[in-house]
Amino acid sequence: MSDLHEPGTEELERRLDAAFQSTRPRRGFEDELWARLRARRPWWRRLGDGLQLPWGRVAAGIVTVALVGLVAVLLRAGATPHGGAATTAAAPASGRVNAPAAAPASTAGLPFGRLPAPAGAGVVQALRPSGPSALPPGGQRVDAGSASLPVVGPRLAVYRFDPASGPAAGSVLDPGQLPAGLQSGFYPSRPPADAAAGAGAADQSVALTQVRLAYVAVVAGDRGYLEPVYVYTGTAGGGPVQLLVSALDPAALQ
Amino acid sequence: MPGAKPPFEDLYRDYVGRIYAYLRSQLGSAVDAEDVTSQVFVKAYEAYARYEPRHATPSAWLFQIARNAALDFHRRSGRRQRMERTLAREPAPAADPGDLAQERILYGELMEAVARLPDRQREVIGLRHSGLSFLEVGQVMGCSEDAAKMLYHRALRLLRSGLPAETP
Repeated sequence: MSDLHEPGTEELERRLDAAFQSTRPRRGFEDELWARLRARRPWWRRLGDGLQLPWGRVAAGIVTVALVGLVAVLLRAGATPHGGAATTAAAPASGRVNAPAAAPASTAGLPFGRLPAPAGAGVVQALRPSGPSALPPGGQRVDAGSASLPVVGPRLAVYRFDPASGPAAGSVLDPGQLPAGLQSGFYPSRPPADAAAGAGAADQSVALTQVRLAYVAVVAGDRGYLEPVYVYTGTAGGGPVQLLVSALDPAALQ
Repeated sequence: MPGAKPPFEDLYRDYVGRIYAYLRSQLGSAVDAEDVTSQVFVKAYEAYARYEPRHATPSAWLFQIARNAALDFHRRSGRRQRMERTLAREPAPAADPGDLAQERILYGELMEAVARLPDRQREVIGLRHSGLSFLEVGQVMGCSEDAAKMLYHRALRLLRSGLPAETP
C-alpha cells in the first residue's frame, strides 16, 4: 500500500489490511439494516415488492385499461345524436336507441330521479293536420299484434334539457333529431310487448300496425326531459292514430 | 473516475462491511459503529437519487458520508471522553461473542491503536485501509493526493511506534 519502504512498514500495512478486512458487523446486521432501508421506500414500491409485481407489466396493464376506457368513451360520444358528445349524469351517455345493458349509475338506477310521465301517454290519439288529439273517451280495443316490435335493450337513455331553449313539451323526436350535447342518464326500459297492453279495452277497434322508438319532450317546472317512448301508429275508424307509451319501466316514472 | 450508477442494493452489499470497519476504527465501539453505519446508509439511500458518478466514485461518495457521520458522532458525544470510556469497557453484550472474541484476539489491539490516533491520522488510516486510493482519500478529507500520502505515512510511523511486534 505504501510507496515508502521503512522497516516494518509493509508488515504493519499488511496487518492493517487484514484487520480492516476481518472487521465486520455481527451476523445478521447487514440484512437487518437492508430491511430497514427497504421499509423506508414509498408504500407503492413496498407493495409491489410484497406482491412480487412486475412493475413494467403493471404499468402496461394500466395504460391498456385506460386506453380501452378512452376508446369506449369516444365510441359512445360518437354515437350521440348528430355526432355530438353528450355529457352524462352518473351514467354513460348514449344516443343509441337500443342502449347496451349497463350497470345503473346510481344505486337507485335513476340518474335524474323519478321522471314525470309523458303527457298523453297511453291514450290513443287521432292524427289530424292540426296535430294529434285524443280519441273520444269510451275506450278502445287496441290490437298491436301486427306491429313489428323494435329491439330494445334493458336500459335506455334519457336526456335532460333546459325548457327555455329546448323542444316544446309534447314534441316527439326521432333519435336522430335529438339535440347534441345534452346531459344523459340511463333508465330501465319497458319491453315493447308489454307497452301496448292495457292501453284500453274498447268498443272501438284500434289497429296499431307500426311501432318505433322515439323521444318525447316532457317538461316539469324548470326541467325538461326527452324520454323514450314507443310510438304506435295505425288506424281507428278509418283515420290514422298514434299511441305513445313510455318505454321506461313504470317504476322509473312519477 | 466517473462510472455507471449501480443499483443502490449493489452499492450497499459491496460497502456495508467496509463502512462498518472504517467506522469501527474511528469510533472504537462495535455498537457505535453499527449505529453510525445505519445512519450512513439511511443518508446514502435518501441521497442516492442526487448522487452523480461524474463527481465522485461510489467509494469516495459513501466514505465522505461515513466520515461526516463519524465527525458528527464525535461532536455530539465528546470524542475523547467517549473513546476512553469505550476502549476501557468490555465489548457490547449485544454483539456476537464468537465474532468479538476472534476480532479481539486477531486485530482488536491494532484497531484500538488506530482508534487512539489523532483525528486526521486516524481518518487517513481508516480510509486508506478501507480500500480508497490516495486520490479518493484526498477527496474525502479535502486535501491533495500528495498531502494524503504524507499524512498516511506519518500516521503509520506513529502507529508502528506504539504497537508491539506481531507474535508469530
